[in-house]
Amino acid sequence: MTTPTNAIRIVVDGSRCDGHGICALVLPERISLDRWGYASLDSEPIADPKTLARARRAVHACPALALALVGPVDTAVRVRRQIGRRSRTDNRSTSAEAAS
Amino acid sequence: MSAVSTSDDSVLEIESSAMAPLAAPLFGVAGSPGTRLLAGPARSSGTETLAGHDHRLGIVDLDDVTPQALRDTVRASGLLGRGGAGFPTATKLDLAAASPGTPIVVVNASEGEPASRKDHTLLELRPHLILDGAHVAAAAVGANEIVVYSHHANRRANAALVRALGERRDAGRANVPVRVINAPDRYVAGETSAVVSYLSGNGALPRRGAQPAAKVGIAGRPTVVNNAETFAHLALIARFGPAWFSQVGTPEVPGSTLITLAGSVAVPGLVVEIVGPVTIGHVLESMGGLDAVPRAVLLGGYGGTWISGEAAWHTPLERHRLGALGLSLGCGLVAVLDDGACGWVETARLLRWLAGQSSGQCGPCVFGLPALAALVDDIVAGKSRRADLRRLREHAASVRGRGACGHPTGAVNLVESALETFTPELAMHLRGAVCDPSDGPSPFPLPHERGVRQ
Repeated sequence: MTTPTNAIRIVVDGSRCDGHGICALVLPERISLDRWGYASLDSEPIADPKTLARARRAVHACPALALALVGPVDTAVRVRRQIGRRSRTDNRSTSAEAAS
Repeated sequence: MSAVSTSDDSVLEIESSAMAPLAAPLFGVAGSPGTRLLAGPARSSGTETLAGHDHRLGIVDLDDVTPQALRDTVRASGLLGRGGAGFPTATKLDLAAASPGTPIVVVNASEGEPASRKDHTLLELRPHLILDGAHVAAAAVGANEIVVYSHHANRRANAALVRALGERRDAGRANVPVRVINAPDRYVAGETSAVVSYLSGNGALPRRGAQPAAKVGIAGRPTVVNNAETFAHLALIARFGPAWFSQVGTPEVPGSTLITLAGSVAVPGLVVEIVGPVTIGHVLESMGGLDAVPRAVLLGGYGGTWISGEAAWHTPLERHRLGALGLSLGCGLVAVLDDGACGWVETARLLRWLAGQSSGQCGPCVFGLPALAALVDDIVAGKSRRADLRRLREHAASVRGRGACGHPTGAVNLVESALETFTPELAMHLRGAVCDPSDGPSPFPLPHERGVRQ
């Protein structure tokens, strides 16, 4: 929650991650799987647009809704639009992290 | 150090006459002159009554002061939360006051850290100080409800709390209703997001907080969750002001600090208030009854950091300076491991327990902590080799910082600091030496027998 402004990072909610592992296939430069199969993230800000696009795909691909992009508020809005209908809680957490 | 005069009669008969008395007491127990939170009657006098409390400190008048002025006072005091994280209290109050909904104030006195006693001791001896502070916080944010989150096993503290609430009701001082709710038996149940989750009617599970509790907490209401000690400081700040408060402590962490001595000390569970600049050695010598440097000290809690006795002896017992050394005062636990004990036996035992206390939500914690515990068990059993040690380090590094709360990272702190601190013992274990964990009772209590906690 100490996101510098304008910096977009990918984060995981460890309590949701079930170790499906799709994210590590989509975004291997930022996400690896630990020895138990859970996503281990490099949460440094993402500058490269192509990496950012793949990060979005990784967020969408997660069956457990465990991933989120955090950063400026408009990121959250974009992500929310792309994610489409999800529970209120999910939207809330995404935008909240972005806003903080 | 003879700086401390302990009027806490039955508990302490330790004196070291070798050193010259200091001008002002640097630390003390309940009733010691110069203390702040623990000033007043000695422990043997039991719970301070409302009459005694009012007589000693006067009544805080919250009617003539605006919430904004109260929050400004707290801001000026520089008070940091005393639960372990050291978050600025004023920031929480400001956020709660500015957020939509009627705020609620939660006094976190659950103290799930097994060897820590500071919150319970304070609740038992000075319940009105904590309750005053809760009312100050409630006034500062416009809260209409106070919850004291305690634990059923702390019978003396809870009895004192119930009596104190009765006294306040009889004195017509129950302006904001106070509820007492007991935490469930779980190490992480006192973590702020777990507290909020539990008080919202769900399990006491840590959540990866999207919003700080002070903004969106219990049932969506702004919720000011603070450690019990933090509220006690608020009660004194409201009376004596920020300038008085910051006369002691450091510019970074003003005010006094409660710590708990545990392990191989004269009186395990003794709560000491640190008022001035002291080293861990000072306090252990005069309050812990130690006449020699112990093998090691576990600092900050069971998910804390081991440091060797020699290093600890000259380490300042001050939150900010410990932080600069890469150490954390955490909940204020200073637990002593004496010379005869094996640090690996204790590490294995604590780690096993920490692994069992996982709330089971996050993979790295669910799988990582038992894996770490198994590797440390092997060390104790003399079955570990160099290659296993490498695995232990890798496992530990892969668990650090993961999960929705700090629990797995705490377990990693314990292991990694053991690797740094207990190197001679490790070398012996790697050559096949075996320690028998059942060889004598451990000085570090675990809450299997939480029912007998006092």
